[in-house]
Amino acid sequence: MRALVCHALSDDFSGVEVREVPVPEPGPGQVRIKVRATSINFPDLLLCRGKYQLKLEPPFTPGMDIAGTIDALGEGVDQFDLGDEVCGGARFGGFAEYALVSADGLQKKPSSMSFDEAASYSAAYLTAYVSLVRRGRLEAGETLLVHGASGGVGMAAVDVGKLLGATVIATGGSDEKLAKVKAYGADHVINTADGFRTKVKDLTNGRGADVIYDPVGGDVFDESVRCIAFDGRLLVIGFTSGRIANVATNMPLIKGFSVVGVRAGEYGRQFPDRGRENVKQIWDWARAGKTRPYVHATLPLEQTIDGFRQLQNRQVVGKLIITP
Amino acid sequence: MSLQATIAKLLLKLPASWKVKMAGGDPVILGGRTLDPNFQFLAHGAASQPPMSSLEPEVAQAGAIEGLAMFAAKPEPGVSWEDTTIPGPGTHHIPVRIYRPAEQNPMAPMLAYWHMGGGVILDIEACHAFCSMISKIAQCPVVSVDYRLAPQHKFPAGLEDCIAAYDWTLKNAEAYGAPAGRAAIGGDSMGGNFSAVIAQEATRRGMPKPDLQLLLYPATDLVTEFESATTYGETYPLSTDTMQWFMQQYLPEEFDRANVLLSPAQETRLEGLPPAIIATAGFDPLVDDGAAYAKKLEAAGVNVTFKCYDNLAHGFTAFTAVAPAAREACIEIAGMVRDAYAAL
Repeated sequence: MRALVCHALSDDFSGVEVREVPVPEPGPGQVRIKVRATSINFPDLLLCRGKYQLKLEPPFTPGMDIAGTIDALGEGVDQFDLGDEVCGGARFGGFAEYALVSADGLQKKPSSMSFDEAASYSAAYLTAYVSLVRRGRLEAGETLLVHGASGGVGMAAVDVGKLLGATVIATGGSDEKLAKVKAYGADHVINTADGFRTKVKDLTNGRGADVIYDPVGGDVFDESVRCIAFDGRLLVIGFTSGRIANVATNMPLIKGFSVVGVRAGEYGRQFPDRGRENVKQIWDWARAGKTRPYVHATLPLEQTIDGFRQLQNRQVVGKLIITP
Repeated sequence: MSLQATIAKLLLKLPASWKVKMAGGDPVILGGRTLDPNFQFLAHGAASQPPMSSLEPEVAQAGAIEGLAMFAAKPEPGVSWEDTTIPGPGTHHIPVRIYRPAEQNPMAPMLAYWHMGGGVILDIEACHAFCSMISKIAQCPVVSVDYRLAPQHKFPAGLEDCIAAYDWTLKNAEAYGAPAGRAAIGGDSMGGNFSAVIAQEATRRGMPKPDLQLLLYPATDLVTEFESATTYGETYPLSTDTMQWFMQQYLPEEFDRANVLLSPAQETRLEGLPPAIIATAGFDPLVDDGAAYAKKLEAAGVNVTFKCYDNLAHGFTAFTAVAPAAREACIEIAGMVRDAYAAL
């Protein structure tokens, strides 16, 4: 089968290419999926650079958000049948014609979602859910500020924030992309070219945002400290800006806010019961038709690296899909 | 026109009191409403037919088209139409009929319209006369969508066709002399369901919102058990039994009826939805459903124009040749669209 193989860690993805490899056989508790769609997530890029929390020894195949049909069942798997349309999360292996996934991490694909949408869902919505509900304790009527809103996890946070009854302010660097975020349900959008602090204050009658969702870091984090409400929660999701910010600890004290780190996957590994609840809740929403991930475009497997670069260069609104 | 249809139309020209006499003798009064004598006459004639739920879907599909054809009026003069196809989901091409009025208002958005039939029966002929009335009175182009039907194509195939048609309308409205990048949506019965769903779904997909949602005797809540499903459970042409049969055909197995793509009234985020025109029919298991959705939208601050046509039955837009009151209602509804357009 054809698979994207990372044979050497590299910053410019020169160590990643499509190769012919054997079709893998499922082990106990695993199923083999004939892949229909796999979405690109930022950790896929970091994995190929050796800069993700999870370190894999090359050669390996990245790709964590998979949708397809079950092609083979490993020992002890009785909750699925051959041919079932499924989707869900693995940690790697998705950018290939066939992928092995633990049956525990799989869901039946909701009938109202396409394979592309189903492959776009798990990582982004789990991140949004753990961030906003578990770590951020966002409540209806509060104001949520979403940075990097046009990205995959940003769009998911806008969707989940609205679903939870928050007023959502979305930021980004491009009016064109922000128009899409607005159409997707954000109450207000702010282009950060001229900063966002004053506008957030204006939109919240001077109070600031109750919860700030920050996958960007750097300058965006620094300015967020200036427009967070008393008792606010500043969620550290990631550092797409490339800079890890510092905060003087007198700031959280004086302004009475919390800086909260979010690791959505690790949360479920540390607290397996709550992890299962998280996964169940996001898929219940999907099955109820209430949430729908935003799909930017679909690329063939051979263009996965182009896709990585598009994500890197922030040319993507929502999720980018690879089809083998 | 078949002999049967000719006779039916002649009989319908009889005075109302005669029709009531021929259809049981007394006016039909249910839940404080009195049925229009023409519908009483039609219902009486239909009572001897087997229930739709006893038929094979293909038989029901063929019979419904033939059965309804004799009741529809001719299209309005001053409106032309063409049949064509537009791109649908995947490789599917959707047949559509596009109406254009001789006197078009360039400010009036193009309307995408979906016909009734529970997602299982009927086609664009069912709303042919009505679409021509909207086109003429609201002075706008109308695209009537021949979406795919269940059980051959179960949920969400028909809905996805309608969403694709909405997207096409946004992108092609300008070519038909309407404002670019904008569209209104509407439909009756199942088409009203699609309209209510798509008015919400547009935001979930990041698409522009429609300018207007026209919901005629819609089904918006397949979870709540409304009193009208019992009071008007045996009415013609829609019974509660037929509705349940439609849903059996339409939905995949183990489908959650609270899904907002089936039951838009179950959505909690109703703020900011487009202005709505909601019209219900008195003799209809769905009469309480449409009224409840109108209330929900109003409570969420949505601009709603609501009217219940107490004496008419479900599906009345397709009965304009045989029930003058149905025709008057359709003219009034088309006028509501025109007025809503003027307020945009």
